[in-house]
Amino acid sequence: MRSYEAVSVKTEGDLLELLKNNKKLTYIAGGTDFIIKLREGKVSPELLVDISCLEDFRGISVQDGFIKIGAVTTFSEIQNSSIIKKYARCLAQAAAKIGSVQIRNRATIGGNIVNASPAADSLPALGALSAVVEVFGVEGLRKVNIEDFIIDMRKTCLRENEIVKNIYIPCSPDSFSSFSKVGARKSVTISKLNLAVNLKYHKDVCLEINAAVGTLGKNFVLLKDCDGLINRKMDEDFAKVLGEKLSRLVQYTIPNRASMPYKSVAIRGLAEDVMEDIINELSGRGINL
Amino acid sequence: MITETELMKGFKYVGKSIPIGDAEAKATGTVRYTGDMEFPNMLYAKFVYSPYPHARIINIDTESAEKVPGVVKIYSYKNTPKTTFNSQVWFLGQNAIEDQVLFSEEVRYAGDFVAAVVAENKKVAEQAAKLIKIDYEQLEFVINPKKAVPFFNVEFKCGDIEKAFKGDVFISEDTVETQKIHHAAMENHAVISEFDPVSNKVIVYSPCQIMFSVRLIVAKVLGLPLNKVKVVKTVMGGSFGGKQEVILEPYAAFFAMDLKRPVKIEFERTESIRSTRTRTKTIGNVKTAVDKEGRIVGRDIELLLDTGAYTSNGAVISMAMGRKVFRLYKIMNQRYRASVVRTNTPIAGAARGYGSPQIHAITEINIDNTARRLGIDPLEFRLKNLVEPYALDPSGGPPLGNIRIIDCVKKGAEEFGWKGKWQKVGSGGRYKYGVGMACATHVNGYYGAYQDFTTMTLKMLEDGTLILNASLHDLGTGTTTIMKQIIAEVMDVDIRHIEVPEGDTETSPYDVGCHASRVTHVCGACAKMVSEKLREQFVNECAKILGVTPYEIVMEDGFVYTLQNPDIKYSYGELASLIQRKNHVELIQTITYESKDNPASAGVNFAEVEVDTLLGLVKVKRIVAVFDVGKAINPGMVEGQIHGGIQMGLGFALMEDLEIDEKTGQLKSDRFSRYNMFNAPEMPVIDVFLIEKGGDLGPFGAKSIGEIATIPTAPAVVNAVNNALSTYMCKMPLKPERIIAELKKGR
Repeated sequence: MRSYEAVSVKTEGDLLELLKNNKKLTYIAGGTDFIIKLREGKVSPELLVDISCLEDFRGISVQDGFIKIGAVTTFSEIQNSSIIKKYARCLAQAAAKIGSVQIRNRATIGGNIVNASPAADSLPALGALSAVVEVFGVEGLRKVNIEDFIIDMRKTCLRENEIVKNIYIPCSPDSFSSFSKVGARKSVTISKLNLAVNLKYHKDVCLEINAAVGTLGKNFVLLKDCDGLINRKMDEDFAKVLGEKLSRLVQYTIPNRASMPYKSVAIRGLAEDVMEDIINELSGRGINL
Repeated sequence: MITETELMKGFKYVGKSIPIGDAEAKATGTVRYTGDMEFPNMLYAKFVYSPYPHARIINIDTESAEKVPGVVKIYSYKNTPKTTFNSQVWFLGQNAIEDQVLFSEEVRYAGDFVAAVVAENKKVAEQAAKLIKIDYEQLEFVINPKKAVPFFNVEFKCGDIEKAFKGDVFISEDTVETQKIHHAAMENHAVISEFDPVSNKVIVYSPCQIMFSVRLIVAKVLGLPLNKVKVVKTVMGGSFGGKQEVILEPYAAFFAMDLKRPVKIEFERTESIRSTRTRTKTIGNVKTAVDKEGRIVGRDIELLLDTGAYTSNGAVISMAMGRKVFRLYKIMNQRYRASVVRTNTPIAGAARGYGSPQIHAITEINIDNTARRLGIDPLEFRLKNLVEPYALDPSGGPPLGNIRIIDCVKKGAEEFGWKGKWQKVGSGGRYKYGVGMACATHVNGYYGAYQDFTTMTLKMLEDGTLILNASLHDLGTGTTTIMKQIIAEVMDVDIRHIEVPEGDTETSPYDVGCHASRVTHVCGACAKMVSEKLREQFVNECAKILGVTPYEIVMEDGFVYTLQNPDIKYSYGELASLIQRKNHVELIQTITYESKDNPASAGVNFAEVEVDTLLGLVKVKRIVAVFDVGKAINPGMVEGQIHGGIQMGLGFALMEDLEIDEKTGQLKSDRFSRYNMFNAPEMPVIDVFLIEKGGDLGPFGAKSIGEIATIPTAPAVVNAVNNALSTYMCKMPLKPERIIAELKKGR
């Protein structure tokens, strides 16, 4: 391990100063992935910048019809946030399924996105919610849709020294979402397959649906073929049709992978879980299904 | 021998759930494990491992590694002894294939030791290890045991199986496969060795299971007489057989002797998973012949064992497995054949149960499958065929003693509610429900196979406190607490007054070691006997002091009085001091106890599962476990062992797997993020019941629990899953992918 310099920044101003120095910056927040890579010698930082105390990059709020989540917000904060639970339920559920309690107390949403793991749990949730990533750099801010943010296996569109500042999620009162995953066991497990579904409804009818499946490649995959699901009553059959469509999506996306036969069945299970959860929650809100 | 009637009377210290002696120190971090120990001037060693499953080393270039400041010396096949050894040998004169050396030019699995850097600190050692350049010539390799050539074959039999199979019988055949798994002790492997230049002696500090095995192998590799190697057993953070074999000790000892400085080796998880030992992979074919009355009239078992890259215990474990099959059911015509092969995979070795979990998985899955093929209840099928107390082993092994497997099964079936639960499962929704059961038997020491004896010295000090000197190895299971309870019971004194250290090879007497589920049964019996001897000596000496006959002396709760004057009480200390001053006698007894029986421990698990037919996940809802332990010296510890055994068995059944890629020879699950075990939220409800009927030679009737605790779980769970899905899956673990693939076949 080479030696390196490390600094901690408290404000956006501090960060801007560093950016002007023309040094290659490596950012650390929760460090739950980064420290492992560092110890294995897979990363060798020149200047390590601790952003975990950067208050401008933290917190959850609602602004102009969007939920704003700071990049260094931890998954424990997301999992317990009443705003997220209300408007972006699948993200709260995904957050609650990441790693262990100890990991969730440290790991941040920005880190999870930038790490760009194909098995990341937050990504399909953000995909289903049509999230937008706000990127901070020396030239100012730019916004990227979450599907375009990840460009390859473990690669993002971030340019040198750029950093994720916020994630924006449109909040719609008639939308509802759910997340489910399967790993080797029920907790503290890496996803073999995960699914997030976000839908717009009127009474018991689905008006729009956005389903994102993780672990099938470099990025989550969105279900494009929603024929037969729109304007349909959300009953058991709805879940079956969704499962069928997702199963086909899995088969087309990873036709030659050894895991395809399993995933093409398991996705039906996840579709059932997600729809059962949505239906239960909607009935709880007094919507008869 | 203790009878059931005597057991009913109860005891003062035996049968009480006294907490494990060092539990608080371990929980609060006060205990110093080997990894925490620091010696002045200590060096650190880091290994370089083979990236290939089989290769010849053409050249090792250590030039740039040696230039790293702080590097002291680099070891490889070029500068280390060529002495061959077998890491599982535990006594001098044991016959074993010796195919290991410290470093070889030929590496036999991905993870094999190629070189070691010894440096001033761990970081430097790690950094330099990465700079060593090695040229390999890759050689052909074998991963699949079916493609390897056996180096050892064994056959045990009783009766006439050909005749049994020719009769009017139903023959039920299964081929069961069990995988390699990691022991996953919380403490990774660690060792420290130092050289004492005054006595020219090597000292090894190791959390080991057999200190005399460590002494033997270190002395052999270093070319020293046994009295120039001193092994100290350090606090153990779990072993499960993983630290039974001598793995890191000869390296640390050689480096320390060569450099005349203390050397520490401490593994990280990936190293422990890949480069220590694994459970032996087995493929077993079973044919069972059943007559019209549902009696098993014959059984033929053929096994293939994969011992990995080196011989290790391959031959010994194949025999240990074979002995179990004659000791659970009344099968008068039976044959067991096993072939052992080496493959270019991580080395197999001792693992909790020493082959018993594998052989019982193979036979108990077949028992359930047979019952289902015959359309009879597996419970009834077992009850008809299980052995009765004091049955003999038809293959000539030691008598089974007071084996109470039928009592276990009846008690378990009742508590579990088997009658209402086992049924043919119909078609249903996504979640299928099933129940399964499995029985098991295990040993109590080596009697009948190898020499099994131990020596102990117990002394009472002049203040009345006691010290036991014995070569005990507490693996975290509470061995030393058990010994205290036994001594306390005999001496009628509070356990606070008894000290039971673990000992070392220089100052403690010989013991066979902590394996073969022998410690409570054999060492415990020795502790009881030496206590009885000391009690007798104490009584005799007290009688002289008090001027009465020994028959008039009463020992009670740490006090002595005479029948004539029960109101005048002397503490043990008052009298011990008087005995020293007036009688000029030390209160000390040494005895060697040789085990004369090897009764069968026995037990059963009943499992209730729910299978998700879409995700392929199995939720284990409840396990009822009943074990015949003769007498629980410490019921709390026994229950703890059973809970832990079930946790290990569940992982074995459903998720733990050291899977090696057949094309590349690489281990996929070399870290805990890829090697998932049952964690707390995954655990089922567990109900434990004990059958305590004594009847054998263990202390107060005690029999083993540590190993058998994990044996019946995996087959019980596999049987429950097969019951739920109406399948006959026999390849462990039953991972979601396998379950879904099996269900697809059926569709």
